[in-house]
Amino acid sequence: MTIPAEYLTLRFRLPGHLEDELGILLSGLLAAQEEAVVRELEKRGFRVGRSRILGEWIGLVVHHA
Amino acid sequence: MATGTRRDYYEILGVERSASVEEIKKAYRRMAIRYHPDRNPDDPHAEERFKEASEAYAVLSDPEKRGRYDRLGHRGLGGEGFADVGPETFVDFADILGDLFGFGDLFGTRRRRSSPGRQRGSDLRFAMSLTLEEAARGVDKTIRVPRMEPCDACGATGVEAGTSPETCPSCGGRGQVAYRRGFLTVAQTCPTCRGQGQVVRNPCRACGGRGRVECEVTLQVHVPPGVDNGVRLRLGGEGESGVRGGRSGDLYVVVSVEPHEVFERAGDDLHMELPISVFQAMLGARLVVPTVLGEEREVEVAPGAQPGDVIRIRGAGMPSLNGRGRGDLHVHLRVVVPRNLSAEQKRLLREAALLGGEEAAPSEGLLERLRRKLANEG
Repeated sequence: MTIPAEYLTLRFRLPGHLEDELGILLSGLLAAQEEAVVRELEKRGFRVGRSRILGEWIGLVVHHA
Repeated sequence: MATGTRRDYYEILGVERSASVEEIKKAYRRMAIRYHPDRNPDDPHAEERFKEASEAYAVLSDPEKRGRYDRLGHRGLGGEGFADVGPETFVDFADILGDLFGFGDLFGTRRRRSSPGRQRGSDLRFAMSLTLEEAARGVDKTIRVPRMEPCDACGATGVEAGTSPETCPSCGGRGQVAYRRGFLTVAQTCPTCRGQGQVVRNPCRACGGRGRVECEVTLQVHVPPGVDNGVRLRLGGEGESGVRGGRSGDLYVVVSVEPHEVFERAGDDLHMELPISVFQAMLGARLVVPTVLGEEREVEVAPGAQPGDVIRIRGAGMPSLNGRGRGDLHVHLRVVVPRNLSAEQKRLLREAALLGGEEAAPSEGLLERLRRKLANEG
């Protein structure tokens, strides 16, 4: 049986130390969890400056809030 | 040039042997996007193609390795290949994706690669105070500005003479590092070299490794006629010097014009107060007023002028900053009533008042009027 992608939740872990101004690429299934990644970043004191979607890739540019 | 069972790198990327670095990069970008494992999670063939393309790119994008490969084939690389597809290639992959996403330098590291550690110098702000006359005429001012200048002792490298900076071991001189964890890729400034791409083991003693020293420079600033409060004059390249040969910042001179004892400014127009005597107000007069540029202009006070009347002198105000003409000068009349009159003057004025139908006797005081009123009522 194949489980549809929308029912899958991937675990992700951001690096322990994040510099200001970083680029994040979300690919594959994780792209569907962009909001969760953004929430996690916001908890760590960052905000998303720009984001762009290209096919199944999502690119985020993130700064210190 | 395929050796044994291994495929030719040019064939893998589908480029000619004479292909430029840019063509190789384009070809790799096409293949990386097409065969990246994240896009093809269940296709081992795609993963294999992705690794092949990454290996080919790692070799062909490096002039030295490419030369060895061209001369000796795979043997010339002495076992390098997949072992070489490390963080460096991964950064290139992030770079390529950065291009695709239009994020430019954040994912890309081209700027840092071509000029490691270079940074543009900061812009500086200098507050300059001018008199109204200087603002009207324009002036050349000499200013002394404290700013960071390239260190002469180390030639702005920040490195002690006789030594040289080393390529950062963490990022390979790119100034950025990329981590990949499953479907998540994070590219950020290298924490070891803080994005400089180089680490200095022996910092210059004169500048402490900063490559710049603080000093004061003398500059000549041309202020054009007509400047007003808050006008910013930009002196390109006169800000702080860049880091490690980076471009200098700009200097912004911010003008403030001191208040003037005679003139008050409103845009390009000027206002001034002109005291005139009662007689000049009554009889009219022809007077001379100064302008801010030191000229003299004649004003005609019409007979019967009232306090607060304004006479406008066209073109006697401030020069326009854009060089088109001048504002106007507004002369506000202030009638000064004499305090001490001689007996003769008083007599003549009473006569004049009577002739004008006015009762010229001194008016009685409040106490006098009250007393008279009470007497009448009694």
